[in-house]
Amino acid sequence: MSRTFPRPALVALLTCLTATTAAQDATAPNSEDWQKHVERACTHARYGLRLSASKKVAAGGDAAMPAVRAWTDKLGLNSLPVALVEAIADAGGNGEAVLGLLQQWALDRDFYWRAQALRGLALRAHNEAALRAKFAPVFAEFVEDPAWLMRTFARWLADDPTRDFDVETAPGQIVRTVESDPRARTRLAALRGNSRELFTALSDRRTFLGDPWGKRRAAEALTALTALLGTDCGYRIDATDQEHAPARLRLADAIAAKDGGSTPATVTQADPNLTFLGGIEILSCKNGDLFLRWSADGLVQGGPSPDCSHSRQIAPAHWTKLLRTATALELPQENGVVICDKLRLQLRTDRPQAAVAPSALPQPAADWLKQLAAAIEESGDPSLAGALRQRLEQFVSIAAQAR
Amino acid sequence: MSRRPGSRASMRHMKSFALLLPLCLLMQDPVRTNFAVLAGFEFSKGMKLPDEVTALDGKIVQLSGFMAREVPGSGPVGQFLMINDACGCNGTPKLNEIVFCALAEGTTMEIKAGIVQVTGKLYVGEQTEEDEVVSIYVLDADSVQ
Repeated sequence: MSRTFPRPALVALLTCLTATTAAQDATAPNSEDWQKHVERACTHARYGLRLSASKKVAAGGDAAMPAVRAWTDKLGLNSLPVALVEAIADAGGNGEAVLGLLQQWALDRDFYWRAQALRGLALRAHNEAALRAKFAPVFAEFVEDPAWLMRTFARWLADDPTRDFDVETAPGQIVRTVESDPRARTRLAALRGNSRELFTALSDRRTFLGDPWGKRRAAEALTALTALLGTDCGYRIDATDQEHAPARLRLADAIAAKDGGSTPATVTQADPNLTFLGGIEILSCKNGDLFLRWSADGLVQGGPSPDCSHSRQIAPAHWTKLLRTATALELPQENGVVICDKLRLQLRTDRPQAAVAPSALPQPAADWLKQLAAAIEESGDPSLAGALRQRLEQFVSIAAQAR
Repeated sequence: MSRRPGSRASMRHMKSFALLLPLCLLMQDPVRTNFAVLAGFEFSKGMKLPDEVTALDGKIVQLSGFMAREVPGSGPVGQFLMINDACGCNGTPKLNEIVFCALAEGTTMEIKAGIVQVTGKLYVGEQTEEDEVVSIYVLDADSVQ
């Protein structure tokens, strides 16, 4: 990777945004009823009005933060909606009260929206060397975080080879593991303006339990590439591979022309030619994600990212028994109230998928998933089995935990 | 843009006086659209929406995405949001990344956990309340699968 990459246009935009809102701090009206705006941002029944109230609170900068603190003191940190945290992260300015809150939130492993808070710190640190030094220990703490979004914002500045990082004043910032989660790789590439990495994401068509996550990744990559190159070369995410082949070639040429390297090759990433009967997806900002899917004949694929890099074959006798038990299970479509972390479970393709909030997984389903973990362990993948057991703990119902 | 979810009953009443119109609509093949089109621009209040988006106004469309509640809770719903990403951790959906869906009067359903395909009439345009934009896309959902 070149050490003289230009910064992405996205970051330039955010720089302006942060600088503008920092300047707004001094002019934020003190006569505003910030408590009213915070309450509106947290509780209004209309999504759009919650969004606009969140932006108003953020624009208030330091002046509005006592009202935010009062709200969380009264109702707890997790009563804050993601929109408010994200608005403060994006446009809360650089006042001490804002920075203090963002740091406190980022460090709190039980806070749902800690990644958004860390993003707020990273945006500011990216723009100001003094803030980069100040928050370096915070970034260092999360470079190996199990939650991919936390890890991404921590790594953005911590292991960027285009930065002249001062390891003496910021020890521990050398990242030892290569990022393997495709979602994180794309987000990092967008933040750093790595056009070649973005190009590899363009042809991702992978899915998990029907969720076209590869296409979302491709869309994110295209947005970032368009900002970097100043053109999308006519590429359309919703077109077929054949339809957008010429545009893809133009993009590849534009990348080569910009960085002076060779023309990048297209890497099409598609689902394996297998039919999956069911699966489980755990999305957790706290503990990290876990994906598992199984075929009718007991092939289990899984891992911490939706590309499911682990693959094991469950012994036929064991699998037949597991499938029989799964057939007998009935799960409501909604289990508990999902705010952030959630589990999505499909036992068989002929059953509706179920969404489960933390502490709301019915005991029979939890028992079945533990049996699945045991079968995966027997098949020779104790790390995948252990990850499943560990992630399940968060979702097992309180009644079951008490037993 | 002519309406919002709450005005669905009055719209249906009006339709009863124009029997030919719903018959024509029923005969339309739905236009397949997706979030790459709907969310493929940076939205700001008062802007002219892209032509490819306004062209969908009043059309019967088919769209895939995730169902979500406008307010956290549980139980059946008569209205819901369609979004492109199930994970709230990934950021707050912007207004052009949400389709506000309304089921027929008196109809409710459970929020489904996986990807769903919704078919119905789409209305495109800013809806404001208290001088704030509250939605851009509103859809009368006739089918959710």
